[in-house]
Amino acid sequence: MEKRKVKRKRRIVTHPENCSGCSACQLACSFLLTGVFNPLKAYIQINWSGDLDRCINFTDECTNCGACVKYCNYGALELEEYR
Amino acid sequence: MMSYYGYAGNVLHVDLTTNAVKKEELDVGMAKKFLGGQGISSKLAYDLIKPGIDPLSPENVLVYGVSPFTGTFMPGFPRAGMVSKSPLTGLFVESNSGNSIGPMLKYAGYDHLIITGRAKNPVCLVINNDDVEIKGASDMWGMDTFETADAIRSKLGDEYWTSCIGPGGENLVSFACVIENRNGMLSRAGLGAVAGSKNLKAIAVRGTKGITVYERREFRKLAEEIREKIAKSPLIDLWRNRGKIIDAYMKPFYQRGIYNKRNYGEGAPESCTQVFTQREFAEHIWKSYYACFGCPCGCKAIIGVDGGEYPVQDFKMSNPWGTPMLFIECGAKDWDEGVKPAYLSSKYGIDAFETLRVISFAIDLYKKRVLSREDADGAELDWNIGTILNLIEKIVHKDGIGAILAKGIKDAGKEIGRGAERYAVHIKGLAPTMDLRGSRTPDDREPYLFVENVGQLLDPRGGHHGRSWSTTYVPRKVDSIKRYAVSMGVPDEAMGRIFSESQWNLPRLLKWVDDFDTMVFSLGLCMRPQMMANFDVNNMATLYSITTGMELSPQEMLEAGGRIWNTQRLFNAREGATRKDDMPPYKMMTEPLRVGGNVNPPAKEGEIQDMLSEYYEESGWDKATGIPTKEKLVELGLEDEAKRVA
Repeated sequence: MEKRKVKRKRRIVTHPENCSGCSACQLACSFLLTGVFNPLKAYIQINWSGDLDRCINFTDECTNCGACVKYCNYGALELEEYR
Repeated sequence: MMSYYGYAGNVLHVDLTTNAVKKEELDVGMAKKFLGGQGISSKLAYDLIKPGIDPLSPENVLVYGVSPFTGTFMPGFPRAGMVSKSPLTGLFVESNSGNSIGPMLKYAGYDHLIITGRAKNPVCLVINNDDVEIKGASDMWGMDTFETADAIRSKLGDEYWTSCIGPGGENLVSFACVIENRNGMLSRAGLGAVAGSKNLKAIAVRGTKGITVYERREFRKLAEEIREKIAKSPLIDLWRNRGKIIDAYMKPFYQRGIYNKRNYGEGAPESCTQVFTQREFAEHIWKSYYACFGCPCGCKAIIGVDGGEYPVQDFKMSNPWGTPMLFIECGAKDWDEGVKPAYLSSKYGIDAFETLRVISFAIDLYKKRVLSREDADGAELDWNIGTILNLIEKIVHKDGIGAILAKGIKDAGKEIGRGAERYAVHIKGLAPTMDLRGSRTPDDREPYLFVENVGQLLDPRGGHHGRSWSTTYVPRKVDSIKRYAVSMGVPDEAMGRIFSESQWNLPRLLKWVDDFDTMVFSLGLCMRPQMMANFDVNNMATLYSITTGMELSPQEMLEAGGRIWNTQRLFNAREGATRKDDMPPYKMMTEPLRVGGNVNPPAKEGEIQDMLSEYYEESGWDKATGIPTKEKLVELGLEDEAKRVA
């Protein structure tokens, strides 16, 4: 029987409690998608409330490419595939 | 306008006296000769600051500098900062941070920011890409550094990064610092006072431009290789998590007497084994890690004290173990007590390190009856938290004895007189981090001289170990040191002078460490071993060319480091610094150091003198004065500077 390709979808799962606020994900996103470094151009946004609480958001342009996940060294981002 | 890679391509000039703002293109020739960051800033400061000026006068200049690597995702290069003439030492000062406004300054289009003059009233410099405004900031004058950062962001928006001074800088405390983004500290030697003297309360920056690099694919490949190496390093866990570095690194240094307490009076072995342990740190004050900009390591921490006599709300501390622990120097009895003065230093914008050394100096003088109770405004000075907190308030507000201590150890010693100068421990006016009477192991008695503690004597900023960072702080076999020298690009003829079969020559190696470190630090590299271990002179040259599109050979990179180092040396020479200013503090050469039950002898003056002579010879500096010779300056391509040397 011919194998049928199953199209997988991806999404990025966040663990803000692990985030160090380093912005490497934003630098990777802006560089790989726009060709220049600047966290304000990234499709992933790290927001700090005061010094302590971090929250990670994505803009509508995010394509779930996973560049940010690859550059996170803190386990704050995870690429999850689902059917 | 030409295209720049790595560099943003512009220098911004701001004159606070006339409100004139001028933007000019970065000089590519200067970039190749001085690389960037503190390298180019040092050259600009040398050219712009007239010798002999008062550091707190409008004539002094603040030069902000950011390297071509900073603001990219190349791991390990987050650091940026300022150069000026120090009010504490009267000499060259450079201080930098990994969470500075530097990257944002580049995104706004500027590699360097030059601030001259003095505003009539308090101002905030607001940079929004090409729009540069000098705005009134009288409403923020008097606010602490946290309040100032929050006020700016609530007014201008969260996209702005902030740099500001607190009451320390406003009141011209000689060791006031600049605090950036609420936690990055340009801490040492008084940049905050220079900003205060200019009525510059704050800088706010927003930039929406981008930084690009010349060889994008190669740059990405190298960044990923290095990121991978760092991620696998066992040192990451040690530096990031729950203060594990304390037992591995801080404790042995205290046990060896390299770090010590009570005005360089004794080592601290019992405190380290029983009270200031990693376990106590993790259980009492550590809350979470955080990182410098773009850094995969995350060695910073959020700390706080819940309840007790000295509660402190959680806050970001760039040296979370070092700073609270440092206050054992003057009597904090556990971690909980150490956090409060560390927090106040950040809040008021004063260099925690210099503050505790000054306080320690004052308590020592009181104990020795050089200072009386009356001198101390009626207070009894003792090794305890009460004295620390009392003196911090007095220093920041220049109240009573605080007005004298706010001048720093050197000048306070002079003003107090009555023999106080003998106990004033400083190198060029800055309190050293490491003692020269420390030993190789906790059981050894002989002083162990290594690149870092001897390097403090030659640092143009004064006594700080951070400018001469090497692999020698841990005793190693000669072959290991030889491999390290090769990785820095030390030329063969110098290798012959440095190494024999079984030994290595410290001052001659130190000269090359200073050239190499000045090169990598000018490019924004962090001094942590897990970062520095990834870079040698060859991949630094590769990185420079793939980032900027300009070719520099490994040898030219190392030479650029030497050129910057010599420029900083010339800055000091022009202010009158000579060989005697490279000598260790009197106390370290005359008093032994008690470490636990043992006593380490004082540093030997003759040995230090010999080391200086060899260092000068290796550097091409005049042996009598320590000033770079004409020939050396011409060799380094500093012809204009050579003309001014006698």
